[in-house]
Amino acid sequence: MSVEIDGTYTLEELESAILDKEAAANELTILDNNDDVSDPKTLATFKKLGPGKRPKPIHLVSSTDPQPANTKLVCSGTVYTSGAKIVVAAYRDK
Amino acid sequence: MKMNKVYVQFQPVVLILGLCSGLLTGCGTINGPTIPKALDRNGLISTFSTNAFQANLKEYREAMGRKTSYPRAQVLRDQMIGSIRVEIEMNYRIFEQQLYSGRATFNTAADITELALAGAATITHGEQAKTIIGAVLLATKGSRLSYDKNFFREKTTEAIIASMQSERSKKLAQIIDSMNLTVQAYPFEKAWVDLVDYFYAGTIEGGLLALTSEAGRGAAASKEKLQIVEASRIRLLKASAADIRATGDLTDELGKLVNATDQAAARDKALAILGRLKSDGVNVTFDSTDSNEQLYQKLQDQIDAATADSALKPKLIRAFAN
Repeated sequence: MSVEIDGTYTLEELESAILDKEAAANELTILDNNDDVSDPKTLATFKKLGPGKRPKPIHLVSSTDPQPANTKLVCSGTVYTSGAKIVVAAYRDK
Repeated sequence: MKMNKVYVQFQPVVLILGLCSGLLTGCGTINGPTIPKALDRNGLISTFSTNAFQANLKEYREAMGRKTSYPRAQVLRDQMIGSIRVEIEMNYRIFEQQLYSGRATFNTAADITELALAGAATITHGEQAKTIIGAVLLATKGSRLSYDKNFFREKTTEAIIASMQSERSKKLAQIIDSMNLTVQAYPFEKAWVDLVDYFYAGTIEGGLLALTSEAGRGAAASKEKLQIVEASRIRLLKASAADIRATGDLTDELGKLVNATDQAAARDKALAILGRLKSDGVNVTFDSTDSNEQLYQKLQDQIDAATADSALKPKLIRAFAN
């Protein structure tokens, strides 16, 4: 299932939106963007986990930042934050 | 002496081919009745000369320069469209006829040549002559295939003409529709572009392209479907720490039902929550024949939907809390 997230959100807001979605029994698998500066959107694809299941917390960091401790890489992709494209990596707690 | 021998071997071929060419020359003129003078593309009545066009265009542009002359500009626009259309129409009809008869003549000639050569090969004596006829036959077949492939993409004339006619009708309908618009909304320059499209819809390239597009229409439909999916794609809302916690709590509560040892009680609770949601105006459908898994999934879907619907989360919290 692919959802869109306002491309004007900050990285923190983007992360929160993804965390909320994951809290509803979904697991992030792909991060992408709609490649449209006039109406920027981050596109995120989730896998349904089944009723009552939650993945471990996820952390979205800029690709230039180091990997958080005790995490594993889930995916990376170009997203829109604050209306500009950046490459981010998504790490999940081990 | 040797030359003489080869000529004797080829005599039947020459005779057959001569007969065939005689047959073919009689086939070119059965296309239709004589064209009336008013419809003759070479006649003065139907010709929209360059000078006449330029004069009309000049007057149209002058009229477009004054707001009060817009009605006149519209008349001129429609006149120019009409005159160009007549020329396109007449030329197209002749082209269609030529395409049909030209290709039919070529194919008939090729058929007869192939048959003649095949026949000649069987009645000709001498290996050398047979080999030469065989080579010519092969070349004829190859040429026909190449002609069909390169000019007509192996499509039948009927298919190409039907495709051209269909595309032309669409373009013409578009032009006629647009002519109902004011001259400001549909100036001649726009109509000009549409007329160019209309003209090219009546070419072999246009016809073949439309045929290819027909195949590609499935892809276009899929693309359209994708666009609809994109348009209806869920947009996630901003979520505060409290929102995330609330969503997580709801999922955990549901998890308790899923993993409960007393599934009958869990099922009753799930039905009660769904009932409360429905009473609270949430669009959820369920009934007593639903399995436990289906009921739990419906509840999880509602929790999921709340990540894009800020009004839904409080309803879910209330429904789970009761």
